Amino acid sequence: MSARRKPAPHPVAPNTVRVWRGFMLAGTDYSQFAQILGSVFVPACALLQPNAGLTAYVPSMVSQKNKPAAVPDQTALMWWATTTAHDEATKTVAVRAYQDLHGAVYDTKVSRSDVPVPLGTPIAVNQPYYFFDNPADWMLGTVRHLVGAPKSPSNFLTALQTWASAYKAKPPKGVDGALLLAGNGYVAFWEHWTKKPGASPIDDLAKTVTPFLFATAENIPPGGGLWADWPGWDLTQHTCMNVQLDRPVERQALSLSKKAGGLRARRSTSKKK
Amino acid sequence: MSTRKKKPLAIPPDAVKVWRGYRASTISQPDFFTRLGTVFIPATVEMQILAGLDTYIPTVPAGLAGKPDTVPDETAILFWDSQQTYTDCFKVLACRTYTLTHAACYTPQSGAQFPVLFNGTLTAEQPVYLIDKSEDWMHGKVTHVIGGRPAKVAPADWIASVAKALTAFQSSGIKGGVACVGNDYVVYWVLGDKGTAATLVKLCDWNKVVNPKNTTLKKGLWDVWPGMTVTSGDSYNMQFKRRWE
Repeated sequence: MSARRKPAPHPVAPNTVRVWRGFMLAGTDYSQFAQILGSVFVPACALLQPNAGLTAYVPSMVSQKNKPAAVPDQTALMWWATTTAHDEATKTVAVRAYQDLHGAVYDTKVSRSDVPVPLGTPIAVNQPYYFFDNPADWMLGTVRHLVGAPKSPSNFLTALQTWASAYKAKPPKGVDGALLLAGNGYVAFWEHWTKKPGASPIDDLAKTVTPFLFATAENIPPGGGLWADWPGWDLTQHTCMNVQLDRPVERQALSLSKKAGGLRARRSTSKKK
Repeated sequence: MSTRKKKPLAIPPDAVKVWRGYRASTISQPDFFTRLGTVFIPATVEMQILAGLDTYIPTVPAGLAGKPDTVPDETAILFWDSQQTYTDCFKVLACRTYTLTHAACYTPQSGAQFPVLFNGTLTAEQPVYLIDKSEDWMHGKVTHVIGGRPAKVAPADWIASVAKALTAFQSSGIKGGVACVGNDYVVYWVLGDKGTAATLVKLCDWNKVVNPKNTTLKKGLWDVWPGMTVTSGDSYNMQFKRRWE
């Protein structure tokens, strides 16, 4: 496989993301769930959708050890080029085929994705929030992700509101994006660092919950294309990934770079003449 | 770039998957047609050509007047470079994805198998091929019969009667033939028919004979396109450029 070129930045607005919480289809064994997701579903998302506007993809698997049923089995962030790109993408066969996979692995009655809104008061259950208005490229840099069940559910939303407001007022230096979701019986939080992560209030939030996933996403490219001999990912090993997509913007950049290179070469040749 | 034409592949007569699909009750008939036209049929072609698909002829008996529930709602023959090519297809994501899209739409009774060379007898649900010779079904004239067992004929007698007909078909001058009989139905595809389709329907109660329409997809995987409009009785011989062409 050829070496990957350095991705060109493609920052997008914070409300272009779909925040997914997936729950296993009843009767599915977790190892089977992870196997289907790793061999088909997650690679298909990563390979079928960038050409239709997907710009970043952060899928995660949640530990099953003592996990309450209310906590999702899987989460994902799917960033799109524009606020309408997700819906527009369904006009393509590739994305329709990908979407048709959901019923085979998820309980579609409770699994859902939502678009975040600016952080406000009070925090509503099952509504994702973004903290910062600036565009960001979540595929580049580093993503940290926490999924946990509150240790003190009774006043958790109030405490979460206080924590979130403080985070927003004084974000860690190097963080340019953050997303929060309070579900029924769980909280999920993602933060995006432009480079390597440093100290962050996410560690304080983690202390108030029983964590089922608390990880720095692994920046990892797909192991092959749609028609390559590639079994997919073992999601029991790769539990939190920031998939390095082959985005059209990268290909355009490469094409321009090749053209510029060709032009430079020709100029160089003509000078010699 | 070389302009020399690649050598055509001799597609083996047994490298064909014979699909009989029954719509799951969880999906309505209109939704089933929509799914076929917007995803399944286009995706079969677009996602599997590069994995070695050589011919794809889907037909949709679902919704035809009087069709018994025991007769498939969708049939298809899919020729591959070889049986091994099909087996290897699951090493690539495109084929795994395509296959999983079907999960929620068909009953477990649905399935596809490779055929065996017909030797005069039939086993229910085991497809057979009649002519042991390579042919190009995508570029030929195909006739397809879908038929139901007459209520007064016992399943064993039904299967025997179809076997007797197929035996005669083998020496009728047809270029190719693929069939599968169940206890309650028969599906038969013939290349270069010599009256065999008309003979077979005489054995059936409910039946439908179609000539798959040569159809080329207008768009690719990532083009904006609503897909095909599929309805009862439609039958397509999908036209595409194979990976070895």
